[in-house]
Amino acid sequence: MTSTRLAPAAAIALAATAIPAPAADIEFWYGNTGRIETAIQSACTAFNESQSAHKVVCVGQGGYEAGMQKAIAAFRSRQHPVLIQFFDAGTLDLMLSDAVVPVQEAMPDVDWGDYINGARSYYETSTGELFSQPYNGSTLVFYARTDELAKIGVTEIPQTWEAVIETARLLKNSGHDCPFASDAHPWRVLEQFSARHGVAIASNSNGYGGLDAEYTFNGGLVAQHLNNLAEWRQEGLVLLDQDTAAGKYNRAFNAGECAMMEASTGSYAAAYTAHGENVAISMAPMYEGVERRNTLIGGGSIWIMKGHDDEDVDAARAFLDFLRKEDTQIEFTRATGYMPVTKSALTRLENSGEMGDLVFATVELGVSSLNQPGNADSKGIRLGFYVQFRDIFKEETQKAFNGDQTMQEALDNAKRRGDELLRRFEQTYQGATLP
Amino acid sequence: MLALIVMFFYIPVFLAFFWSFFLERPFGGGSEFVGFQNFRRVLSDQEFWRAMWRTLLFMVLAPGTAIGVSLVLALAADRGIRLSQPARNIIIWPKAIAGASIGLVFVFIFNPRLGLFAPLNDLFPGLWNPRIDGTDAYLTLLFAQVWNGIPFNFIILLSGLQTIPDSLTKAAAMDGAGPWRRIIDIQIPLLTPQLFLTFVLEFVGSVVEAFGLIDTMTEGGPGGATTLLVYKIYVDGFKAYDLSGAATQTALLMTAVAIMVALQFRLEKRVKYER
Amino acid sequence: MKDSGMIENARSVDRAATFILVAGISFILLPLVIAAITATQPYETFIEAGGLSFALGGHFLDNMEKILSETKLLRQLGNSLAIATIVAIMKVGFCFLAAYALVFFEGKFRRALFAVMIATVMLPLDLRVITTYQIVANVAMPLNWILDATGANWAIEKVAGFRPYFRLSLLDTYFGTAAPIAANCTAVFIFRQFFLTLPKDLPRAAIMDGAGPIRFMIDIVLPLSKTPIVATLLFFFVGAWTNYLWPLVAASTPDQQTAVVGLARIADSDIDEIPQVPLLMAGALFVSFIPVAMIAVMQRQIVRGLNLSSR
Repeated sequence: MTSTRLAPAAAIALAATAIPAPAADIEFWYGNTGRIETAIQSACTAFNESQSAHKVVCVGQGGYEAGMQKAIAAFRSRQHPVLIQFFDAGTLDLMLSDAVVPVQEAMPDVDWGDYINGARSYYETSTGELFSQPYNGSTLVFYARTDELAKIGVTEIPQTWEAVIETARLLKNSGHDCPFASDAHPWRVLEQFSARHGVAIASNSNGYGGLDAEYTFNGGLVAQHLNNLAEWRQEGLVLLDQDTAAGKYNRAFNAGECAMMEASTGSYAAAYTAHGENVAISMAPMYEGVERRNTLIGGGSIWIMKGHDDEDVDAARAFLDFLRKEDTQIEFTRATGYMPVTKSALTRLENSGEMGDLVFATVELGVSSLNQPGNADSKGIRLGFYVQFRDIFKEETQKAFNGDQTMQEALDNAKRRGDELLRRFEQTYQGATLP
Repeated sequence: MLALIVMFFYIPVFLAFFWSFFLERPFGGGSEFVGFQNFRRVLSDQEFWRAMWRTLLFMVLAPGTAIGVSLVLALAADRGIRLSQPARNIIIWPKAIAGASIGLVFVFIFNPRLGLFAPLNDLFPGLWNPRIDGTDAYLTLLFAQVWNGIPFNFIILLSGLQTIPDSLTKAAAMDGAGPWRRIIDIQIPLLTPQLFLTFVLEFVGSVVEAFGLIDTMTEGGPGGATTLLVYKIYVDGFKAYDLSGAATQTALLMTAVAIMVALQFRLEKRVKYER
Repeated sequence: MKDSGMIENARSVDRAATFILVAGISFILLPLVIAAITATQPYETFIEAGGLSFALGGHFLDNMEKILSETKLLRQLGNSLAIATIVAIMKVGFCFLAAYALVFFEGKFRRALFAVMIATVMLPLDLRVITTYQIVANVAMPLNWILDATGANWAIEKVAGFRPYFRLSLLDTYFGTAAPIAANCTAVFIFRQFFLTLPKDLPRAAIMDGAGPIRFMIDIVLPLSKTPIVATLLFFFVGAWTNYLWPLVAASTPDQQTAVVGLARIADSDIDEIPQVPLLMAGALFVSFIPVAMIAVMQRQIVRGLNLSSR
């Protein structure tokens, strides 16, 4: 029996030495890595130095998914942090988890209306209450190499898919091997595409109207676009990751292999480093004759987790207030390329005269893309197990791109498998209502 | 220690079977008994069967190739020639190299544009591209698994060969049996226990060891062509928060592996009786 | 002994064997050589050459220096060392004792104990990773179940007014990463096999000399078992070092990850540029150096000690 008793004792000793967080500190878990992680850490340091009442320990989890998985395990053993950052696709999973307190409920005095619409709709309830505080915001834009376009006599950045493909054809005919690059990730070809074209990917306005939504993207404009992409790829006008030498669409663009791409605003810094003034950006292309709607916010937002005492929640409030400050947002933008998400921070940036600076180059364009007039189908995605659906969508469409099935079959399969996920989500959260 | 085995082996196994009958909310706070619904869902899911089929194929091809190659190498090393000693040492090195590490090297070597086959691709475009062609990707995975699997089989088979008394082979040589004959008639039959052992271990090993290779080489792609069951379970459980589904698949895979191992041990008994 | 025809024959067979071994060694070494050569090239030449080239670069030290300064691999190497050592010692220590008990003692529970252990060999950790994770995230979970199931919790709630809930997470600790890897009894078979080859009257002689079971183990069996102990220690050390799936999920912060996991994470950290392949190759060598050197140096002992085949 001694070994039975000894093992937990040894375990406690080990655990105590490995987790060095004193009780007074609160933790904030985030998923980003690289230079974004550095920026988050310096925001934490700045907060801790700015006051002495609270201390936030910021813990990197090495990825959004790892962070979420760890938060799930931690919540089940009730060791979860007070604050956690999570990415757009997991919004509904967290909303229904009963593990979080809506920020607007926890902090009723904040002027939440200051958040720009494009950043709000993804994270708010049906009654317009923000569930989480938008943090690192990005969106999809179009990138082009002006020097490559000039060679074939194109001086204006194409605004429509028709123009993009015409330009691509000219490039191809002049011997260019990679006119347009993408990775066909659902964030690009499904979510951002459908939102800015004002069409839904699922019924109930992408799930905002209830858990009994069904996917609808296998017909209509989205299906048309994906079929087009497949054809254009056959023609050599559109290249996907696996077709490029660099192995990834943005690497291929930065390495000079490709002339145009659709990418996040966050990719600008690397593209500018590679090509300087020859990189031009504009809003993501539309099909002719369709009214432009808003694009969706990408990146992550910060959630307050349940089950902590008032003291800890106070610290969390103070930290969220600090992150919301105009200066903090502008500093974060300067370091990362993400966009400020409140109107006052944007105004401050405009008035500072720095807006023209390279580091803020994507802000104006990105924000105006987010702030295009919306409709019921461009609010965001509110579908259960959506992270898993993205994998399904990728798998099925990649099979189509690689010639194992037609694109229509791929979309039908993805819809069928996606609907199964939605039904299971509905059953898992039986009795829960959409906030 | 027995407590550790209970804690970290039996309870997790039990929990997998337990959860497979429930629909678990990821964050807890609600779990509903659903009977065999999870099993019905998993068993009627084409993707599960595709992953299972890929796994089974892998379980046959990888051990088969790795043991075959190891056997040839062990027979050669057993000749006691000058190269035997360095070969004995070098051939077991891959044992010490993680699949995830060598996976990165193989990704580079098999890269269609940068790697070893790039010149070939320049001549015949599209001949080799594991990023597009599922079969190519499966082959690279198999190749890497065989590379990683040779050492262990080699050690076991070689030590088996060396326990075969010299007098036996010498006597056969006196009788005029050529080296080839001696391999077929004496060495391989006497090696049956070792061959059996390597096959059992490789069989179970190939189910799980491929994970590190898949995660670094293909991430299950292209289009799911290299999604073996162990990778699917990881993705479902850790990236998609489908705890019930992942637990159900775990339970099924465990049962399948346990049955196969048990069958192999039955087979072993018969092998022994016949001798 | 042999006539000249036989010798000629043997020579040609030896030549064939040599050829096979050369092919085998090349097959094993080729990926390593390519990794080593690429690790000597600077990033720029690598990009210019358009990929794989067999030209030695001279930037090996630069690349290694980058590995040390820009990545956490050195620290992660320390984690790997600690975890692999814990696993090897736990596994060998326990399996030695268990096999000793199984072979030298008659007991009611012997068969049951053997069955309990044989099962752990059939289901590798990677198969039960999802639920193992949940347990390691809160090792007190079974205690909570017991309290719930027995009604103890209900009683405590009545008396004390609150419901106890115990929690203890071992995620991100050395022990939490090592213990599930060690909860496996492969070595029991190796030791059992070995003990069975010892002379049968050894224990009897010991009893006659008045030695108890513990003395017998320490004075006689332990010294005799040096070879299999060294071999299994090394074998499990290497096994734990190369483990990937479990360390990947059990430790989420870079500071706690093992070197193999850390290396794989470097591979997908740079999304904007063509990956630093020379750096990655240098990293792969860096991460593999210690276990490969151990195997290379101790090759004879491993092969002798792991003689699973002796029947």
